[in-house]
Amino acid sequence: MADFMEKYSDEELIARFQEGDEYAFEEIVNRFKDRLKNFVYRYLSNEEAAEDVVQETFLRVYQKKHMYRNIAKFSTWIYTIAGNLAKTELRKRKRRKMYSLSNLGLEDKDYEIPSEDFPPEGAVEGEYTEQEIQAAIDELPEKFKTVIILRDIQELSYEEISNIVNVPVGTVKSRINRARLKLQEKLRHLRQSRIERE
Amino acid sequence: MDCYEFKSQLSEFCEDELSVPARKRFILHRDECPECADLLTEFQSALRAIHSLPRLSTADDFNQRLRERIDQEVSVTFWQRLQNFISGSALPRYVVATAFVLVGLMVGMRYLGLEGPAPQSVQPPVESPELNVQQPMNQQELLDQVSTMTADSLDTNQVLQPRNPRSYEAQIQYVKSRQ
Repeated sequence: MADFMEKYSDEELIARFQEGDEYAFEEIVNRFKDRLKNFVYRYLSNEEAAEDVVQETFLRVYQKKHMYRNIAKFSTWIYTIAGNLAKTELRKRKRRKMYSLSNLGLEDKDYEIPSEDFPPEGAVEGEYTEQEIQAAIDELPEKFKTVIILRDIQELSYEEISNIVNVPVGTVKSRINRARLKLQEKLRHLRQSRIERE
Repeated sequence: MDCYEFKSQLSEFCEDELSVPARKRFILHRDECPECADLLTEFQSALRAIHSLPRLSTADDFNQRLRERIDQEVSVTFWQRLQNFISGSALPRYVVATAFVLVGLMVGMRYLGLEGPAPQSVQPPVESPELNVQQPMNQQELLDQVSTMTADSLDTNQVLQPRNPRSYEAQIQYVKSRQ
């Protein structure tokens, strides 16, 4: 059945699913689950939370399938859902973090608790570790983070990103350039502080 | 080209999207400005770093867990949905719960017919024109009415005319014959 479904475009699959074809939904899940997980993971820096958000995204697609209209690409629609859920989750996590920090006593703040969100550290590009790159992404403002993940990790076109974030293509281009400049600056600082520590 | 313009075109240069003349001007500035040359090197390095991030895969049981979750959601009861709605609402829970209780009470009262008294109308009741139509008396009624009258109090215009104008003459005759 999977081979049979491969010939369909994303839009044809969702149309079939809207007519009740469950195999089409299964194919949609198989096509998008890894892409969405990478997108959400780079947003949240937590693998378990990312997988939960991706599950929630597919659940929304399942429940709201009739809300998709074939005026935009299906990938745009599903990325928009995943992006919104990821933003909500990120805000919740920030609030929880702020709450737990505010509950700590002054003397407790001296202890540094190692983050378990990151996978084991490893050199990625040679100059920077994955942890450094992820930390730099995490520090970006939300609007820069979204576009840089969509462009440089998801490799979406400017037009698709424009539809997802709902701003003109020109704005997307300049925003991506500014996001990369900020990322480069943060990476440089992280590398400098690493060298100083060593 | 100045440094500001150079900075704004970094992405387009790296993605090979500049026109030939713009690219020439960009390269010319890079060769003249060591700071911008360093910036370009750092920028390209950061781009390579982000592109080289490992790609993650979902867990092996992802599809199975999703199917279980969908089945669970499909069979969820109305009360569970309500509970989820209350717990997921942006408003404080007690506000949502109070609103639900109030709405429930109103609906319940209406259903059981326990509504408060209807507001009193300030308008005087309007009589239907049909109610003013005088029905003719039957013979027995006429006799009963006339027998209670005395001759002094008899005012035929007031008593009889409105009740049965058509038999007015006959009534006068009848009363006179009784006297």
